[in-house]
This record gives sequence, structure tokens and C-alpha cells, in this order.
Amino acid sequence: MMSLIARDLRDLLNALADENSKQVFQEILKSRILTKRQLSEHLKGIDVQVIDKSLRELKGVGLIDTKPAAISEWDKYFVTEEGLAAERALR
Amino acid sequence: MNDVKAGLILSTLFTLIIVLIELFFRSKSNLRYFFTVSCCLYFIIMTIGNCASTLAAASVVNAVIKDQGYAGYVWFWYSLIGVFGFEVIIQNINVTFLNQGVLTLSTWINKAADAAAASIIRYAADSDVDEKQKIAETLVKKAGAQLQTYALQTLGANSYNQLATIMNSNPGIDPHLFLALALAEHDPKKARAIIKAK
Repeated sequence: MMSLIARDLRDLLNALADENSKQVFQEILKSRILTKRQLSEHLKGIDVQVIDKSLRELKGVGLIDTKPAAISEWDKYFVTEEGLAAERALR
Repeated sequence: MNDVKAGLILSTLFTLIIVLIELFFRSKSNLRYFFTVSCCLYFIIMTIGNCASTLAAASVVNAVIKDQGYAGYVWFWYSLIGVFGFEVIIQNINVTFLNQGVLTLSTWINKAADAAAASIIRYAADSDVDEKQKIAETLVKKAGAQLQTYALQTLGANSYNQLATIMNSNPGIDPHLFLALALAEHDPKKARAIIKAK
């Protein structure tokens, strides 16, 4: 179990080592819930495809999750329990 | 009602207030999304802790003031010292097994609070998507050809043009639903007002 926790922690840290992913995660953390469109509006300096990649990575390690909408522009991305724990660890 | 019972009731009320404030700041969500199993569990954990420390505080308070003839609202002090005492306990008690630190009490409480806040956030996200989807679908039915005008007015020319670019580059998108969703997301109150007016 300890090795599982260590591996998860390593995955989380790797995901947040990427500056873009870190920015995307911090932006979602601020509001807790954001649509993909709001994210691209808030992070104008980052390309939409890079945001998509970061979202996939963050979702992959469990820091965020998504609720799909009828049109993907309004998919909601929100912080998970692991994301909230990571926020405290990052402070 | 005796003083201890009154103290326990007041401690439960204090717990409710503390839990609501804590979860409000952690989840940044509306109170209507707070009715989840994890939230109830967190409230029960905190209530048990606060009531236990209130009982402990009662014997301390009795020893210090009541036996000296104090006849005021002693149950208030049971509760106040109990609830704040539990906060001190949370911060300072470590659970160890074979001299190895397993988890501190604050870690357990934080885990329960995170689980509760995450359940609120998930519930809020789910409900919000469903709600906006319903608004958008009704808007498409009711606003009809005027939808573009409403969208342009509400979103402004810049946002509208950005959306038009996305619609033009994705022929699979239903333009009416797309604009209705944009309107519902941008200004749900106005979207509801349009529906009501039709």
C-alpha cells in the first residue's frame, strides 16, 4: 500500500512539474469548477491544444474530473478529493 | 433539561456552523449542493468529536467553577470549551502503531473534509451541466430565429464572433444549441428571462 501511495504521489508531482499543467490546475483550483471555454479565456497565453493535453494529464492522475456537456466547449472540469489534498500540499 | 444535555445540543449547533463554514470555503459552492452522504459523514464525525470533548469539558468546568458556587449558564462553557478543545485535540493527537506514526487526527479529519468538499463540487458540476442543458434546450424551442439576436446582445460582438468561428470550423455543431448553451452559461438569469417572456 505504501508503494501505491508513493507511486501516486510521484504521478501527481510529475503531472504538476509541467508548467502549463500547473497553471491549468491552479486556475481550476481557484474556481473549483470551470468550463473548457472559461479555461481558455482565463489562460489566453496558452494554446487550446496545450490546455487540452494538460486537462487529460490532470484527469489521468486524478487531480480533476469532468462532467461532459452536450458541446465539449462547455464540459465542466472540477477539482477532485485528490486535487483538494494536492492544493494543501502545494501551499 | 440538565446542563450537560444543553451543552451537547449547543455543541451540535456549533459543529453545524463550523462544518458549513469549513465546507463552504473548501468547495466554494452554493449551500444547496451540501446534501451529500460525505457531508453527512463529515458532520457526524465532527459532532461525535465535539460532543465527546464537551463531556470531557463538563467535568473540568464542574471542577473549576460550578463547585465554587457559580450558577450561570454553565452549559455554555461546557460547549464552548468542548468545541474549541476538540480543535486543539485535532491539531495535537497522533495515532501511532509500533512506534510508527500512522496518521495524525488532523490528517483523518482533513481527509473527511476533502471527501465532503469534493462530493459537493461534483454534485454542483453535475447539476450545473444538467441545468444549463435544460435551459439551452428550452431556449432553442422558445427563442427560435431570434436566438442569434439574443446571443449577440448578451455575449457581445467579440464573444459572438469567436463562437461563430468555432461553429464555422465545426460543421457537426448544431448552431442553435451552441448559441443557446453559450447564452445559458454566460448569463443563466437572462436566459431564463427570455424563456419566461416567450
